[in-house]
Formats: sequence, structure tokens, C-alpha cells
Amino acid sequence: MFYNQDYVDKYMYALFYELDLLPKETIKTIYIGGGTPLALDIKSLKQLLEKLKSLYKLDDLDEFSVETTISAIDEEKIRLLKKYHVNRISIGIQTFKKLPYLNRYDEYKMVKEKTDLLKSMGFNNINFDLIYGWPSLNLKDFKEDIECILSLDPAHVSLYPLAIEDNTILSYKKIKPIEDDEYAKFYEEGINLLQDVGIYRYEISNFSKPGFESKHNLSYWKSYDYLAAGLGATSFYNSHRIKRTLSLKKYLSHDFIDIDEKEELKELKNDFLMLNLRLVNGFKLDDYYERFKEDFLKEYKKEINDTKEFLEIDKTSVKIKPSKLYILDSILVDLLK
Amino acid sequence: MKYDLKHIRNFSIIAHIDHGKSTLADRILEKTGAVKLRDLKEQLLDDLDLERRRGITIKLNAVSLNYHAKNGEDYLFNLIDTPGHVDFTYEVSRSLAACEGAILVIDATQGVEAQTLANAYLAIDNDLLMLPVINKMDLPSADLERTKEELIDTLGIDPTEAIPVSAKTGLNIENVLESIVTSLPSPEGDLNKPLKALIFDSRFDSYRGVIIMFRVFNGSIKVGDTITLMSTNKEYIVTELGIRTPKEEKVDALHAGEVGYLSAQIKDIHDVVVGDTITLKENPCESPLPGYRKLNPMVYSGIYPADNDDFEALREALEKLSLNDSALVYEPETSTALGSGFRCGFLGLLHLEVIQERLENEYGLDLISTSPSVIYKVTKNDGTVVKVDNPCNFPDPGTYKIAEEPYVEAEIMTPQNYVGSMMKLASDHRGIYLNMTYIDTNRVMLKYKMPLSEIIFNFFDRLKSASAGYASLDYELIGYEESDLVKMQILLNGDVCDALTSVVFKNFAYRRARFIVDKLKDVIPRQQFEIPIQAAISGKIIARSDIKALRKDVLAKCYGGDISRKKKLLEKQKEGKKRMRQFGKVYVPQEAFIAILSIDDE
Repeated sequence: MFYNQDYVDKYMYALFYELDLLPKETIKTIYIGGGTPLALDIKSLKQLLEKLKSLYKLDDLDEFSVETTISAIDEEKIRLLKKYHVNRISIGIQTFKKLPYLNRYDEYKMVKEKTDLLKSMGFNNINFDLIYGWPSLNLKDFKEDIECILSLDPAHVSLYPLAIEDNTILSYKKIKPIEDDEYAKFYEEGINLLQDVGIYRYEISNFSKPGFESKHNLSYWKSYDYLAAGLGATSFYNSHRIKRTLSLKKYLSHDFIDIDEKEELKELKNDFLMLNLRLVNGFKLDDYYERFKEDFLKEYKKEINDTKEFLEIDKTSVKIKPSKLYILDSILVDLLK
Repeated sequence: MKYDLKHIRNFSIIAHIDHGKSTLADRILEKTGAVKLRDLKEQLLDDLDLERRRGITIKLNAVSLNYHAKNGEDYLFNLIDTPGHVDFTYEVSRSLAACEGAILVIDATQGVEAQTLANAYLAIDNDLLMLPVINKMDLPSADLERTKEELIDTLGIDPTEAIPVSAKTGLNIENVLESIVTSLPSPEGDLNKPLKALIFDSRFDSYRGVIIMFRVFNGSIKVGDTITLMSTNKEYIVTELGIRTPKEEKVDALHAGEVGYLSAQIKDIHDVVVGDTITLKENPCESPLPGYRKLNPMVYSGIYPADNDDFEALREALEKLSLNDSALVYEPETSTALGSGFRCGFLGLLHLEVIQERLENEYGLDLISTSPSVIYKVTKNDGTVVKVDNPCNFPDPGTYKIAEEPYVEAEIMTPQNYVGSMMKLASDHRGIYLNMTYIDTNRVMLKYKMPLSEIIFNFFDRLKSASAGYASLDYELIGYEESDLVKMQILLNGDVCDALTSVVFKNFAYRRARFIVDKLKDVIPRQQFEIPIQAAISGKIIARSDIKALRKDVLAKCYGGDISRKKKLLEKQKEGKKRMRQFGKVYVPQEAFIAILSIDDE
């Protein structure tokens, strides 16, 4: 992708227009995502933050995250983020060993430098995204990736298996995914290595030091409402799941909405279960009751019976057995109505 | 219009698949004015959807056409269509028996092929005169000279008689019509002898009962006559006679040499057997026509609705199909694994496939079929003989004295250069070599005695692939022989799955067992726990393969943005699971049963 200031200006204009249209709500967290928002030049970045400041009380937020690649980080931008109360940085790493014949050290050196810079300027809540299951990398490579991350003393780590989806560069290159058993081996190794240093799994793919769980993402998993703006962004508000267009052309002409689906009760329940059960702690029976005015244990008696060997149910909560979290989907197939 | 024998021609069109038989028939119908061009659905004689799609003819058809020849006289053409597959060789031979001549169609771009020969030999067996027609001359790759050479080399047919045509464009079709008059013989027959007529097809009509298609060889038949079907000695009164042009036209009587249909309030199609002889009760002929064979199902398979609620719908569909298909038999059975279904008998594997496809396409049913089986004859210790058409009912060792299985005499016709691979194929399938005959310098006929059970497992496909499609196969049941057979059961997670039970030749048991358990391991999806798949003979496990427990099945990255798509994936998975069969805790997809059918243990 090339950086084109003309498009950036037009896009910012449309984005601000959409932000103005959002329902006026008090919000608790903000997440500026999409991979590389720090690719913006300093002036545009400032305009964006200023816009948010005009709409929301940024100094009252529980969490304000910005996603970035390592190369987009510089001192001036960090200072700007700090000024607007950004308090969490999420860095996409994927792997330190981009190609089998490349030395991981160069990549690591840059990450280390930028991380030190962030820390020196007061950012302690940093997340690293790591992807495992590269066909060219073995278990030893993966362990080295984790060790590199750990040496940076992260507050939060996300571990995602490589997914080769249709119509992506990886699929065009005809890269074959590794076996599921291999993924599982990597995953279990990851859990152990992180746990050893006090970084615990709280969601299938997310790990943190106690207290550093992503508040913003937890609101997704707890199936709470959230607003959104921008190309391709999805919101969930008043039972409406709204997906914005992926066409820049449409977005620039303020034709924002691609799909607007009102979810029925059954779907809302399915969402609730499929998202909440991703969490290591599952959900509270009271929360379910409060949301749907039904006793989950009664309502799902048959389904619970079909899946009882995978669930942990006590008086107050329902969760998936930790050892079975990695096969959640096959459990959901039997648990969902 | 009345025709004397000299002005009648009874003929078939025979060809290798896709050489243009049906298109030529259409053209003849059109040129004789039987069908207006605008009424001509493509390939009129192939009634069934399935026939059109597969390019094969399953049910025969016959039409009577008036042709005004160049000599100024009118001729009656009775064109009798033939089915095109080894399962139906008997029907082909009976419909050829109703003719004096045959048009042999050869594709000018392909030349002589296996079924060209197989059909031509059937025609020779029935003493027919052949009129060679070289089709598809409109195509740039047509090679007339080469095709002519092959005709003389393989069949000894004088290539100067061959007519180059294009059924598609209509090129030279008039010449074909004229040659039918000049080259094919007219029927002979004695009007004064007692009625002797051959049944070559039948179908069921809701109003009139069974409609019989037949050819009169001697004597006459008229409305009101009491007829006898000689194989069963059953009697009926003829209520309607007619010819098809192709629409039905009633006549009062049909005479020696003629072809037509009759109805006689016959309620059950199974009473009317192709190849049977019709005569009159009052003045019967001395002996029936030769070549009659009782058609017995050779292959049995359990057919179950994928959804148990469809049982009644399946029953109704089978009932309707069997109205028109005297070879199809069925009776209800129950399987612990599959629920309620039917054990159905077929002439062969193609017949099975055709019925299955028709049930699925025409009746919208979703089906599971069990592994096909022959009928075993078992003599118990107490001397009683039982026939086993379901492998689950095959008795345990020690409870019986002798087990027998049906044997066939198989004729494999092959170009000489494939003789080696054909011999290997036959002996791999327990074939016992009988003899080898050179048909010509290039073509060889191999005769083997083989168990029928070896043929019903994709033998035909292998024969084709091992001979580049050139070898052809015909077989005939020759009786039962003692055999060393065992019942093999498949256990899923420790429980016997009855629908996967099969009877196997003992020496092959280990190999078969290994392939089945491995194949099942591939098609049954991994589940949350480990599933052992075992093959057992009288309780003893002889092969085992384990499906490992599922270790990763998760939408690993799931944020607000992509939840809808992932939810749809889950719903799809849930739908998929509904379509599987559950045995105890194990879910088995339909493909598992199909996988067993296509077993390729080489």
C-alpha cells in the first residue's frame, strides 16, 4: 500500500462525519485498530485524536488502545498518544524469523529498541501479537519467538495460529497449513512458557499478567454493546450487528453500512455462549439470567448433558474445562441450540 | 395402412456409448415424418432424464414409422432401441432377437470401440444383418478411411457398404433410410402357424396395467384373444393392441413379422418377463422361443433414508419404480445402525446406481446404501439351507456345514496388448482361467470362472482402466460353488456397526479388513475423544485403526468484527452433524458407507 495524503484527508473527513453520527453514549474503552493506524502522518494523527477528544472524555477512559506495527513507532507519535491519554499499545509481531534463512536478531533489535522507547515514555501496558504455525518454522523457532517476547517483559500476549484463508496472499502462494496436531503442540508449549513467567491465559488466544487483561476486548467476549466507525468496522448495538463497507469508494461517499442485521433472541443467546465460553472463566449464571431472564441450567439441560464431559459447572458459573478450550467449536456445535 | 411382410423392416441401432445412436434415431424419426421438427426434444427415444444426462439408454423403446421409399412404395420401419450396459446385456440380446437387422453406428472420430464390438457380436449371435454407418462426419477430426479399415479388421464387415453420415446435420440420412429398404432383410413368418411372439419390453400404465412390447414371429393376435405367457402359463385377455408412431395408434390385430404393444389388464409387472413367449390359449405353439432367461436379482444392497422420517417416502418411491422395473425387488428391513430401510435386489451395480440416482433425483430422497452383496447359500448343521442376502445374517462359524457363493462365467474381450493385465486382474479377483480365443489378429476373448462377488466390487471400472477403456465384459451366472467365506464385522468405538458388515473370502479377509479400517479412519471426522475402528471375524479383531481425538477446533481469533462469519461456520458444522449417523457416541458421515463401496484394495 502506498501512502497518499489526498486519500488520507478524504478518508479522515468521512470518518469524522461518521463519528459524529454515532449514538451519544458514555464509553469506557477505545480501540484504534486495523493494523497500522500509526502509519498516519503526525498531523492527521493529531486531527484524529483531537476529534475523539471532542466527542469523548478521554481522560476518563478505562482503557485506550492503539494498534501498530513496530516500524511505525517514533518518539513524536508516542508523545502525541500520551498526551491524548492512550494507555495501551498493541504491536503486531507475527514472528521474529520472517523467513527461515533470515536472522531473527535484526528484527528483534528493532522491536527491543522501540519497546524500550515506549517504556521510557511511560507505556507499560504493551501487547505483542504472535502468530504460530508457519509451515517453515518448527517448535524450536516458536520457542525462540516466545523467549524474545518474554525478554521484553510484556503485560499482554496474543497467540494466534496461522490461518490461511481464501483470497489472501498466503492462499495464492499455495502455502499449506500444518496439521491440527502440530498447532496443538505449539499452542500447549506457548501456554506453558507464558504461564511459567506469570502470564496467564484468560481467553483462548490471549494471555496477560493479572490485571492487564484487555478491557476493550473483554467487552466483545462478554457480548456487551460496542460502537464502531471506519472502513470495514463492525459494531454491536441494541441487538443490531452492523458491518461497515469494505469499499473505500463507498465509504468516501458516506455510504457506510454494508450489512445491518437485527439479531433474534436465539442468535443473541448463541452469541453470548460462543463468545463468553472463550474466556477461561466462562460466564456467571447470574449474568445469563440478567441478560435473558432464563435459568441457563434449565434452559440448556439437554445440551449440557450432551457436553457435560467438557464443561465445568458450579453454583455460580459455567466454563469450558481448560484442557478442552482448544476444541471449543466442536463443543459449541452440541451446546448451541 | 396395411403392409405385407416384404414392406416391413425390423431393426435396432447399436453403438458404443456416445457414438450418436440416439441422435441418429431422432433424425430417422424426423425424416420419416413421425415427429415434427418442433416437437423433437433432443434424443426422443431416451425418455428418462437420467438417460439423457448419462447418455445411456436404460429402458428400451420401439417405434413404428412409415417410409415412402424412392421406388415409390411405402415401408413400415420398426425401430427398436436397446439399452447400453453390461447389466442389461440380456435385454439387449432380447431386443435384437426381435429384429432382422441392425444399424451399427461408429463414431468417425473415435473408430471401433469395445461396445461397438460387444454389440456387434450380440447382433451376429442373433443372426442379424448389419448396416454400418459412420457418424460425426461433420467434425474436422473425422477419419473415414481409418474407421473403414477398423471395420474390416475387427468385424470383417465390407467397408464399401458403410455410409458416412452426420446425424447432427442430417448428412446422408436419406441414404441410410434407402439402405434399410435395400440392405436389411424383411421379416419372415408364417401367418397360418399358431401365435408365437417375443416380449422385449414392458412398462406399467396406471390405467391399462402392464403394457407389453412384442414382436410377432408366427400367427396373429387380435383384441379379445386369450393369450398365455409361456414361462408362467398365466392367461390374459387382450384388451388393446397397437403400434407406436411414436404416439400410440390402436389396431385390431397384429400379424407375423410385426411389432407392437398390447395391454391385457395385467396388474403386476413382475408377471411379464422380457424374453418370454406369448401364444394363444386355444391354439398354442409347440415350444417357446429360445433364449429366455429368468431375471433374478444378482446384487443386493440395503437402502436407507438419510433422514428416518423419509421411510414412507422411500417406500412409495420404490413402489413406483418397481411398477416399471420388473428386475427391481425390495423388502423392508431394519438395521440398528441405520434404522428402517429396504433390502433391494438389482441386476447389477449399474442397475443399483441407476435406481439410487432416480430415487435421489426424481423423488428428492437423501439415501444411505450399504455395501452390495450377492446371495449366499448356507447349509446349516441340521441340513437346512438358507439364502443370505444380508451379510449381517451370515451365520457364525461352527453353525453351518457348507457356505456357497454364486459363480459366473465371465467373458472379457480385449485388444491383444492388454491380455496380460486382464489376466492379472482376473486372477486377483479369484478368476479361474477357462480358455482364450483369438477373435481376429488383434482381439482376444478370455473366459474365466469367477465369483460374482468379485465382479460387483468395481471390477468393471478396473477392467476399463487397465485396458484404456477397450476391454469389455459380459458375464452369466453359472451356479453356486462352495467357498471359504467369513463374516467380517466393523466395530466403532467397541460397538458393532451392522451396516458395515460384509462377507469376505477368507484369504482376502486381512487385506480387506486393513483397507476398510484405514478408509473409515480417513472419512470419519475426528471427534472429541479417540475412536478405535476395528475389523473382527467371529469376535477376533484382525485389524485396527484409531481416529485420534480432536485437538484443535477453534475459531482462534474472534473479535467483534468477524463474529457473524464465524457464527455461520458453526451453524454449517451443526447442520453437517445433523446429517451424520450416530452410533453410540460416534458420528459417521454418509460418505463412510460410500467409501466402503469404492474400496480399492490394491
